[in-house]
Amino acid sequence: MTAVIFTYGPYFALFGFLAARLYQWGILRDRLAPAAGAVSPATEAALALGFVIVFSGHLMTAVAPGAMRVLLSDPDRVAAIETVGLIGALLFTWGVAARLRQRVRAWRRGVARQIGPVAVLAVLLAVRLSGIYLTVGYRWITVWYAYILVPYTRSLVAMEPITGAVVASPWALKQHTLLFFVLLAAWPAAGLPLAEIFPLRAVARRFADAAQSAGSAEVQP
Amino acid sequence: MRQLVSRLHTVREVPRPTVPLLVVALAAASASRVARAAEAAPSPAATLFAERCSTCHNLGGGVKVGPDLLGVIKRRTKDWFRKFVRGPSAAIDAGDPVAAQLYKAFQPVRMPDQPLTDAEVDGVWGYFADCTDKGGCVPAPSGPRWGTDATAEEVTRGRDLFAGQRRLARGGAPCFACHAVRGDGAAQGEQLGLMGGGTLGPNLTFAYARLGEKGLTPVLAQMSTPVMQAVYAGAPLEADEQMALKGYLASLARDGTRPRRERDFFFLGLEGMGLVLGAFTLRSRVRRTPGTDKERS
Repeated sequence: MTAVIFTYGPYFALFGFLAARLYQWGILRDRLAPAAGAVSPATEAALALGFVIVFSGHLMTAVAPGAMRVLLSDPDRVAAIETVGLIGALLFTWGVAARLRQRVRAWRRGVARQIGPVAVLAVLLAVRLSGIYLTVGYRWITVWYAYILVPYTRSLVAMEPITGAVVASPWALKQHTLLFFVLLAAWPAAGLPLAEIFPLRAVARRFADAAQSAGSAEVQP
Repeated sequence: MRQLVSRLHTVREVPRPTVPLLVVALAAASASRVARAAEAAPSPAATLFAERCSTCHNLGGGVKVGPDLLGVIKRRTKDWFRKFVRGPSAAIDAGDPVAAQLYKAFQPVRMPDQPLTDAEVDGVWGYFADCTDKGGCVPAPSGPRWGTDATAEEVTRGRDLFAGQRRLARGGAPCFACHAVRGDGAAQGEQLGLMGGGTLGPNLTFAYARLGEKGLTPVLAQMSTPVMQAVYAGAPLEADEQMALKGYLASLARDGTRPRRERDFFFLGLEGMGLVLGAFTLRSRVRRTPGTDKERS
């Protein structure tokens, strides 16, 4: 049963993602959910930094597993990478929790179309929490991500799923992976802007403004 | 050519009295070889000791995972030995002073129960007596080389393979990704990195003592646990890698260092997050402070 889920589940998730995205483009024309309350600049920066750390770690290992395996062949390097990864994951989780809080408040206030974002952010929070649990509870997740999940992901792309290692792995890893599939399928339907969890522009703008005001202060007599 | 034929002919023409002598000599040589073979063939007790006991015990070779058993017949009674060997843990738990003393000396390794028959106990006891008379015995090798026979180079290589400092020939994951070992840097099991090995699989410090040669060899050869089987499906260990790792694990089993205190990884992450969030908050507050703005303007 688990093997069947891991063989076909990802394709259903991808289908859901694409179908919802097409639906959104064709009928709703990017009808995003109305914005909820803002979070603090520090939380926004934590979201951006955490997203970069978590996303780049996963992506780099998936794209260049050979290079990452060489990098991960030393216990000291692994410990350093894992620590940075855990800090990034905690920052991102902090930000996601803050966003979810704002969305729940907006929903309670009766702001329209908040259920989708609340549901998707809740799933994202669950993905993050399970990721943190894995990182802390089963060391070293980075290495076996490279040896268990990456071959699985690449086999999915090649349309020949190899599920053995994932099915044999601890339930927490399976749960983390399945929650990610759910997130992938549900994301477009929720109408949540990507900037809400990856506010890079807002953070960059804030930094640019700060630099500009510092520069103008220096120019003025 | 003719000379060669003539020589052969000469050899074939052995004088008659020589033939019985040759037969006698051949028979004597053959009998001596048989006698030597019979002498070299280990007794059932010696084989039993080699297979079941010699992973952890020597007979005159010094302390291994457990005590050297040379002269044990003079230190203990056969009845005590029979009772202890069949249930060492039971003897420790029952408060047997000798068992408790042994456990204290060799903790935390508890000897596994050995359900030997009376005849086997008698045989092994006789073997101990024989070895005591001889001043020691080297257990007969049974099959492939054991982890305890690994050379220093093999042990070092095993450590490097375990810690990922030497890559496995077929590209399998290094052992430290899922397994930790005990060690304080001074002993055989040197500290593995800043925070040790992984925790997905069990700590392997005493794997050799627990599983023994017979248990560990197939695990390394076939990677028989479900996760290992899947991860190493296309990358099994080479025979020399298995031997090196076995040797390293055998050397670790003699490690008497205390387990080091694990750093709490989660709190390390929390501290890091706190620092980053604090820095972000401080920066945004400084930017918003009116005094600072005035200074800037």
